[in-house]
Amino acid sequence: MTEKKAKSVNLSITNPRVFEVIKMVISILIAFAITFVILCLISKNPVNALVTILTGPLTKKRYIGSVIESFIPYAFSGLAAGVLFKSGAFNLGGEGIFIISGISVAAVACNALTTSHMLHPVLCILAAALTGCILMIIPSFLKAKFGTNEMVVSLMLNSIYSGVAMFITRKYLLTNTTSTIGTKDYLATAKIGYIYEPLRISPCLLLLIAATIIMYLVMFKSRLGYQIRLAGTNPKFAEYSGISAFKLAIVTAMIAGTLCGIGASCQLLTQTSFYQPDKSLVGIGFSGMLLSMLGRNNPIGIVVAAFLIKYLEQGTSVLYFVDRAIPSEIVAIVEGIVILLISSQYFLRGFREKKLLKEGLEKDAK
Amino acid sequence: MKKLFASVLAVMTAASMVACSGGSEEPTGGDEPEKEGFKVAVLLPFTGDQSYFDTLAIAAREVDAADNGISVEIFECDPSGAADESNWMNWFDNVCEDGAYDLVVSGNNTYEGFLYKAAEKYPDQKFYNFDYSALPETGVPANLYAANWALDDLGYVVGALSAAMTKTGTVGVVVGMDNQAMNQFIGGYVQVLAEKGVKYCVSYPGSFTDTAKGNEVTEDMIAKGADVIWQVAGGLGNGVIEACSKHDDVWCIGVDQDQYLQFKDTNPDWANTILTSALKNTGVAFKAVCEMLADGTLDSKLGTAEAWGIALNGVGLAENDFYLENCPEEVRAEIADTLAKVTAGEVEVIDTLEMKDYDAEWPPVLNANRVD
Amino acid sequence: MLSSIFGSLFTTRFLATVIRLSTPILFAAVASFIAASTGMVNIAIESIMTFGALAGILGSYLTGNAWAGLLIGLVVGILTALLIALFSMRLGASPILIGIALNTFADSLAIFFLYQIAGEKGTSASLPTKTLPVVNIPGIQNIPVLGQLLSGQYVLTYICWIVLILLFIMIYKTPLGMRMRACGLNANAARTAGINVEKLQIFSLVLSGMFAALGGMYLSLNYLRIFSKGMVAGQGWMGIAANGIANGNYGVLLLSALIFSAFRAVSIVFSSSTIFPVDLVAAIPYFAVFCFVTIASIIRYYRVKAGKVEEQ
Repeated sequence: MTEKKAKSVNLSITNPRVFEVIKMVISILIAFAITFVILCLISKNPVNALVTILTGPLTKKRYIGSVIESFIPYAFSGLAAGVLFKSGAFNLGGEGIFIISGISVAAVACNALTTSHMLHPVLCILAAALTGCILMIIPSFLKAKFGTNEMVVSLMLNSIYSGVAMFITRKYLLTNTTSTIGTKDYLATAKIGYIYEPLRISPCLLLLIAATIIMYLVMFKSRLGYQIRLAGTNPKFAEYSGISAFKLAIVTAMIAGTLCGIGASCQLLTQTSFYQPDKSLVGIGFSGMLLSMLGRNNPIGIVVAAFLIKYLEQGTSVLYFVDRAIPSEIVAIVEGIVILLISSQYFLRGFREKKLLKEGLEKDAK
Repeated sequence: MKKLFASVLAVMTAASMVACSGGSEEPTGGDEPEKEGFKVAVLLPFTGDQSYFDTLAIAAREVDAADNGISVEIFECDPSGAADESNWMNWFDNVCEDGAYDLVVSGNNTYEGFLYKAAEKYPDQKFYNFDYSALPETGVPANLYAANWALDDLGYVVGALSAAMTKTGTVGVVVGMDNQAMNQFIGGYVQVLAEKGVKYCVSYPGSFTDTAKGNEVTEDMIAKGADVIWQVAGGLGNGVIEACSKHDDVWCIGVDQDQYLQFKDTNPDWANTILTSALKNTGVAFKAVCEMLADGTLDSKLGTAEAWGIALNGVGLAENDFYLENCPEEVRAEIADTLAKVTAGEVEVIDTLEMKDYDAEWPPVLNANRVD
Repeated sequence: MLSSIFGSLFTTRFLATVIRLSTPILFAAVASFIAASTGMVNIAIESIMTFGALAGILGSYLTGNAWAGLLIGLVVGILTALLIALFSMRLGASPILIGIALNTFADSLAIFFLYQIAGEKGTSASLPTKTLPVVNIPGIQNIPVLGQLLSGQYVLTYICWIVLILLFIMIYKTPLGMRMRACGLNANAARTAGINVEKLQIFSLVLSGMFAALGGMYLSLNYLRIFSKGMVAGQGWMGIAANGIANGNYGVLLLSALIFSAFRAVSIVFSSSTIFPVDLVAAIPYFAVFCFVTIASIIRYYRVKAGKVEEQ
C-alpha cells in the first residue's frame, strides 16, 4: 500500500544536489587539512596562520576591495570557459585570446580616439570584445568543419598570439622607459575609475553581474542554452534533433571570445597603467578553465568560485605580510588540491551508492 | 581506492616533511624579538633573479643581520612582475599606513610609478628609489631620495676591458631585451669598441629566464670568434656563463653583482670563467643610505636625485683576486686610466637614455662595427 | 648579413645544436605518445618536466650524487603520473583539466619546494650540485662530420636515443606493446579479450611520467646544470604537439620533434640578427604545428569525403 508522504526536501546524500554540496564541502575541508599540515611544517603558529588566511581579508576594507577588483577578470575568463566546456568543446584558447585582446585594449587606450571619459573605456572594451570574438572562432571552426583537433590548435594559437602580441607591442606601441617590454601608458581618459572607492567597486563589477545574469538566462532559460547543453552531453542526439553543430560551435566560441575580451579590458583598465604582453594577463585564461570546473560550468557557481579563490589569495597575502616565512605559493597548493578533489566525480561515490542501495531495498520491502 | 588515496596523501605529506627538514635559514619573519632602532622596508617584485634585484636583496639582508640597530624587511610583492597598480598600492598601504617603517625602499623603471604615488600619498613617510629612470614631472618629491647609475660609463669601461683582453679581435654581449632602458648598458660599450676597431656581436634573446637560449646564443658567438662575452641578461645569463665555461679560451664578464664570488664555492667551473663583473652597486648605495638614516643625515638628501657614478663607487668593475691574477698588469693600468678619464669627464660617453630620437639615433651606434 | 645567417644554418655546428635541443622535446614527444597509445591523455607533461628537473637537481644536491638525483627525479615523475592516474581513472576527473591544473601550479609548487630546501626563489645556482657528464665516444669522435654529431653529446641524449629504440621495439614488436595498442584502439574489445586495460593504462602513464621527468632532468642535470624558473619554456607543449601531428605514427612523431628542435635552433640563430623580429621568430615552431595539424585535417576531410579513407 502506498502511503501519502508529506512533501519534504530530501536532505540525504542520495539527493544529487545535496551530494554535490557535501562533496564540495568535504573537498574544501580536506584541502584545508593538507594546508594545515604544510603550515605546521613551516610556521611556528599554524593555527594562527590558517585563521589569517581565512579571515585576513575581512580586517581591512582595502583588502576586500582588492578581492573585488581582482576577481572580475578571472570570473569573465571562467564564464567563457564554462560556455565552451558545457558545449563539449575542448577549446583551450582562452589564454591566448586574453593576451591578444590586451593588445586591442592597449592600442585603443593609448590613442586619443576620443576625449570623452565615458566613451574611451567603452571603445577599448568593444575593441577587445571584437578581437576575442573573432579569434576564438578559429579552433572551433576548424573542429566543426574539418574535424581538426581543437585542443592542439588552440594551444598552439596561445603561443602564437603571445609572440604576435610581443611583436606588435615592440613595433607600434613600445614605451622606452621600462626595461621590460610594455606599451606606453594609457591615456587618462581610458582608465576606468571607481564608483565606490573604499571597496574598489568599479563599473566592471556591474558589467560582470550583468554578464553573469545574461549567461545564466541564456544557458538555462533559452533555446540556445538548451542546444548548447544538449550538444555537450549528447552530441549525436543533438545532431539528430536538427541542431546545426557547426552553427552552435561558432556561436559558443563567439560568446566565449567576447567574454574573454571584456575580461581582458577590465583587468587592464582598472589595474594597470600600461600593458606588458608577457606578464599582465598571463594565466588568467587557464585559471578561468579551472574555475569553470570548480563552478561546475554554472555561471553563478563560476563567479562565486572566482571570488572565493581570490579571497584565499588575498588571505595568503595578508599572512605573508605578517610572517614572511610563509611564501605566497601556499595558495597555489591549496587551489590545486581543491580543484583536483572537486573535479573528481567518483569521490565519495562508494558511500553514496551504499546509501542508494539501502534506500532502494527499503522501498522494495514496503 | 581509499587505500591508494591514503597512500598518495601520506607520500605527499612525507615529501613535504623531507623538503622542509632540509630547510636552510629562514628570512626574517615576524617572530624575532623587536629590534630597537630603525626599521626599513624594501618592496621588490621578486627576488631570485640572480642579478638585479638580488644585488639589493643581498645587501638588505646583510644590513639586517649586522649589529647596527637597523632591521630590514624584504617584501616580495609581485612574483609574476605584472605591475598591477592595485596590488602594489595595497603593499605600499600595508607598509606606510601605520608609519611602522622609518624608510621605504623601492624602485626600478617598471615599478617606480607606484613609489611616486605612494610618496605623494604619505608625505610624512621617507622613501628611497634605489634605481630611477624617470622622475615625476613635478620634480623629486620632498620625502624621496632617488639614485641612478651611470650605466653608459660602466659599459664604456667594460668595452675597453674587452678590447684589451681579446685575442681574436671579436667580442660579444648578450642583452636580455632590446629596448632603450637595457641598451643603456651597451651604448658606451659599442662606442669604445668601434673606436678601437674591435668587432662585436650583439644578441637579444628576448628573455631574462630562458637559460637554454642563453647557452645557445653564446655558443653561436663563440663560433664566430668572440672570446670575451659580457652578459646583461639576468637569469638567462646563467646560460651564457655555462657556455663560456666550456671553452678554455673564452672569458665571461658578469653583471650587477660580483658573479665570480657568487659561484666561487658552489660552481668553480663557472667562477673560473668570469674574469670580472660589471657592478651596479645598488647594494653599496643601499648600505650608505641606511647609514645615513641611522645617523640622521638622510633628511638632507631627501628631495634630491643623485647619479651614482664611478666616483661614488656606484658602478665599476669587480676587482677581486681572480681579476688581479688573470688580468695582466698593463691592461689593469689601462683600465684604471680609462676609469679616471671617464670620471673626470674627459671622455664623452654616449648617453643612450638621453637620445632625443632613439629610433633614428640608436641603430647606427649599435651597428657601427657589429658582426652578424 | 643575411647570407651569413643562412650560412650558419647549413653547418655541422647547427646540426649539433639541433641534436642538443632535441633531447627534451623527444622525451616529451614519447611521453605524450606512450600515454596516448593506451588511450590516456597526458597534457601535464610540461609540469612533470619541471618537477623532474627540480627533483633531479635537488636530489643531486641532497645526496651528493648526480645519478641518485636522476633516480629521485624519476620517482617524482612516476608519482605525478600516478596522481594523474588516480584522479582521472579512479575518481573520474577529466585528465585534461588535471593536466591544466598541474601545469598552472607547477611553477609555484617548484619554487615552493626550491625555497624550502635551498632558501632561493629563482634558481638553484647557489647550491653546489653534481651534474651528469658529457660523453665522448673514442672511435667515433674522429669521423669528420658525423663525429661531431654522434660523439660529445650529453649522456642523457644517448639515453634518449636508447629509449627511443627500446620503446619502438616494445610497442611494435612485443605482445605487451600490442596489448597496449589494443587498449588505445578499442578498450572494450580489449577487455573482452581478457586484457587488463586499467593496469596497462596506469603502466603507460607511469612510463609517460618517467620520460617527461627525464626530459626535464636533461635540462637541469646535464645541459644547463642548474634549475631555474621557467626553464622548460614550452618544450613540453612541443612534445605534445609532435604527438598531435603524429597521430600514432612513430616515425612522424620523431620527425616532428626533430623539426621543432630545428625551428628552435633557427629562432636562436636569428635572435642575433637585426632583420627578423625576435618574437615572431620564437613563434615559428608553434605556427608550424598549427599549419601541419590544420592542413593534415583538411586533407583528411577531403579524403574522407571522396570516400578514400575510413572516418574515425
